Amino acid sequence: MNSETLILLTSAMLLAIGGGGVMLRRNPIAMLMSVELMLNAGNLLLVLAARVRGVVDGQAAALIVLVLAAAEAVIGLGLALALFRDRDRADVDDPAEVRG
Amino acid sequence: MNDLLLPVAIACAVALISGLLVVMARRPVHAVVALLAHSLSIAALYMVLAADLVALGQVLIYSGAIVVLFLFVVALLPAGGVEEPARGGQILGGLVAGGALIAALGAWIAIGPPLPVAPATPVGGVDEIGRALFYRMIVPFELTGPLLLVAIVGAVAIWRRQESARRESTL
Repeated sequence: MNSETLILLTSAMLLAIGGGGVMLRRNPIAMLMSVELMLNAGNLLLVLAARVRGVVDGQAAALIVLVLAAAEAVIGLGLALALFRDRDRADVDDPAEVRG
Repeated sequence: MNDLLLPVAIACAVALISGLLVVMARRPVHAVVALLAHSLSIAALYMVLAADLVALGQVLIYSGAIVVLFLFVVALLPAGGVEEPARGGQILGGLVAGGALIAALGAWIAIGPPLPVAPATPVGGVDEIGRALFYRMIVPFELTGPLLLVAIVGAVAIWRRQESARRESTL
């Protein structure tokens, strides 16, 4: 097995781990961290594609995804704090304000 | 690139194990530390793939800014954000979601055309990435500006609304 295939498989497994984590966890912080894992997996694939194709656009796209991940973390953590600061536990099943 | 197979294998193993720790750790502080190890190992993989600028951004933005942000929020959450053990349904949901993703991606990798072997000389100095960002990808690049602005204004708006609601309830 060569390095390219190894990195490709790692990226796929990281995406699966992150997707499973979003379903598994109820803590908003842990769910956000699982989403970060999935973003990292996508970024790794972009950079790998840039390397094997010899085109630099993948690296530029990876930089834009980095900025996107930062914005996502800011908004997600702000929402988590606003929702859970006054509760006695952090559980995404608890808030019922928007339940129909 | 294949002379670096052993470092690549080590970095991949660290990335996968720390990724699993992020998902499995009961205490959020442990998960954040695992996320730090994960992001550094991903940066090492970027270095192997000759993406120096992306590796730098990964270390500065991910390992620096985002992980510290997560640590702050963990400290502010009730009970340090510790959650109860997962229920059966959740474990089932996690396994089904992860299994479905790995099955779909594995099938895609197995059926799809084989990965081309990387050319010997890598592309991608800072000047080439800058040219890509400012010519071919100028629209998405410029759109990150409004995105960050909206994220900052949104975070402040969420916080201020929360604060005013809290002040009214204490009066």
